[in-house]
Amino acid sequence: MEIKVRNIEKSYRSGTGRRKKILQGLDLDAAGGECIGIAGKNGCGKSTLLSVLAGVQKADAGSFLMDGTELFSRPRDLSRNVGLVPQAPALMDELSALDNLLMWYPKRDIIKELDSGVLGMLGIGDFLRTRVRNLSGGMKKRLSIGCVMHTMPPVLLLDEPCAALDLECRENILGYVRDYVSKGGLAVLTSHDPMELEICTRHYIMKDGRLSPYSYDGDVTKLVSSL
Amino acid sequence: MTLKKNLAAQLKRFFSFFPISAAVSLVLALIVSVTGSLIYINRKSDETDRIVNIGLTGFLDDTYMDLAINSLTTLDSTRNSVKLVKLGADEADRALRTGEVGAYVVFPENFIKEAIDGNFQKISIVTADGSKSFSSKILNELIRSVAEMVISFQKAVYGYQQAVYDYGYSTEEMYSLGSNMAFRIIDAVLERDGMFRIQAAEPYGEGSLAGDTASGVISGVTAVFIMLWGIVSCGAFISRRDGLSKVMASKGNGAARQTAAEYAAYLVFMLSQILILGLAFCAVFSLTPLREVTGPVPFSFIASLILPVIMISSLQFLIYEASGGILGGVLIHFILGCGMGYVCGCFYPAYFFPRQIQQIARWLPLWQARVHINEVLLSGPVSPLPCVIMLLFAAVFLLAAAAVRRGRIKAEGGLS
Repeated sequence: MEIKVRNIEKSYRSGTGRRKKILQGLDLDAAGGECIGIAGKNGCGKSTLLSVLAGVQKADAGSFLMDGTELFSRPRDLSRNVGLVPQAPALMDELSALDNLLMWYPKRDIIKELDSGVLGMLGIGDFLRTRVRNLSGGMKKRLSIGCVMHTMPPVLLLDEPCAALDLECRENILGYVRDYVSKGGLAVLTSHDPMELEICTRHYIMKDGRLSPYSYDGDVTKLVSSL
Repeated sequence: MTLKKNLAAQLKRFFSFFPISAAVSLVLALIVSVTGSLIYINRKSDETDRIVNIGLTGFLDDTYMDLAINSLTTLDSTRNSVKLVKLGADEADRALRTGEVGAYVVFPENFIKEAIDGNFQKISIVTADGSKSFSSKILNELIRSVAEMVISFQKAVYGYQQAVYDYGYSTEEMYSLGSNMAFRIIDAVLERDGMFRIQAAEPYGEGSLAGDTASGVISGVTAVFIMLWGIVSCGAFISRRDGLSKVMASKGNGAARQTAAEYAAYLVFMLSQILILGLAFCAVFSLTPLREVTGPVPFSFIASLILPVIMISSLQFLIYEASGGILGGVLIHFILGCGMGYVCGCFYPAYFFPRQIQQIARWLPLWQARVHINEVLLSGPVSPLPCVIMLLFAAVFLLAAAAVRRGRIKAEGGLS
């Protein structure tokens, strides 16, 4: 499986009423088994790029091809093939983890996935009956990933997946991403975190609405000066 | 995600607030019933000592009218509990508004002359609210008086025959005149039920609290109560996630479908709350003096709340959809509920407000809800117009809520 993102453009109307271009002719090529890390300053458009690729926001221009099939014009295919884990988990706080999963999975699939699938791997069985409002940040993130994986999408987009999580939770989440990639999935994650960037096979820096390849060698100082 | 799954999730979400609101319902039922009972008992004891003033206006400058009014006063079988007051047309209207008279009777032009000719024009009885009990009280009194007058007429006919005989008219002439008079009297007796018509004073008409009817008080308080009751659910509205809305929209559940699922869940929640509350009220009412007001119709009363709940819950939905946070939402909800209840005469008689405000109030949601509940409480025919208006209001509020949701998703760059 391979993806080709071409000439993506996206602009917002700013507070002053003028349109501000966030993405300007952005291109990206990637294939299954890769983990793409995107770094960049706050507000440079990383989250917007992931939202556009997941179909949560509409691109002003550009195309998103998966194995030659244009996905922007096929919302159903886009929704099935691309999963987005947003920075703030999109969950219902008053409901239990199980009830949140039931919004996305058929009941029988949850039992199967908890037993020997992605939900089991994420350890969601440990807090299945707990209300989301009582879960820790790490648990919410794992649940959020679990909800996204209901279609087993070949492309997983993660927006700062380990932000504000402790080391154990980070290792837990990143361990899952490594496993996902090793099984042929394509993960694209945005991050400021060296620990997250280390698991990526390729790195990009987002600047002026475009992606530039970057060779990350663990030197954070060098990375910061490149942003 | 399908609409069905979203609806199931929303039902679970709203019903997670159920224990708290059910507990509050039961406490409220007790408080309102006790308070209502005390008010009702006090009002009832006041009424027993109260003289009912009835205004008389229209064609009154006639000797025979004076005689008739004096007869009515003399024949008053209510043991001086009714006092008749002669008033001009404007004075009568003003007196009705200020409560100086409970109703006024309008005699048409040349009433006596027309009556002598056998043309019985209708007498209008104007009450503030078309109150059945009050109107029937006046009507009974007048019919009783007319019956007394007819007996007096028969005595007069006998006296007339004697007089005619004494003055030497021929037998044929005497019988001819006597028959003519007898027919007119028979006409008057036969027509007596059609001699009156009851009308409610405009514009405060059927929905105002004028007349202080118990059903008017209950229907008004109930309408406001349903409106303010939604505040208990504000937590469920405010805790929704805009992020989740965007994700749902990208999965095919756009603003309209999200609104439909959330509103349907909220409506089921509200109806179940009102059912519990209604049953609690009925149970408590049956043990208090309020049973005299609710009578044997508690279930029809609960059923009458379905349409108001559909409309009011859609308005509440719109309020929280449009408001930014919990404080803003609750504040708007409270001010709108109390303000609208006040203007629509739910707390206070509407006729104290300027005429223009009264006319506007007639088209507000709470007015329609109150009129509908009042009609059911009075066990009278239920007018279709308030029902249609309430459904239209609900549709408009929901469309507006969907538009607000769509705008918010779009403002955050999402699809709708």
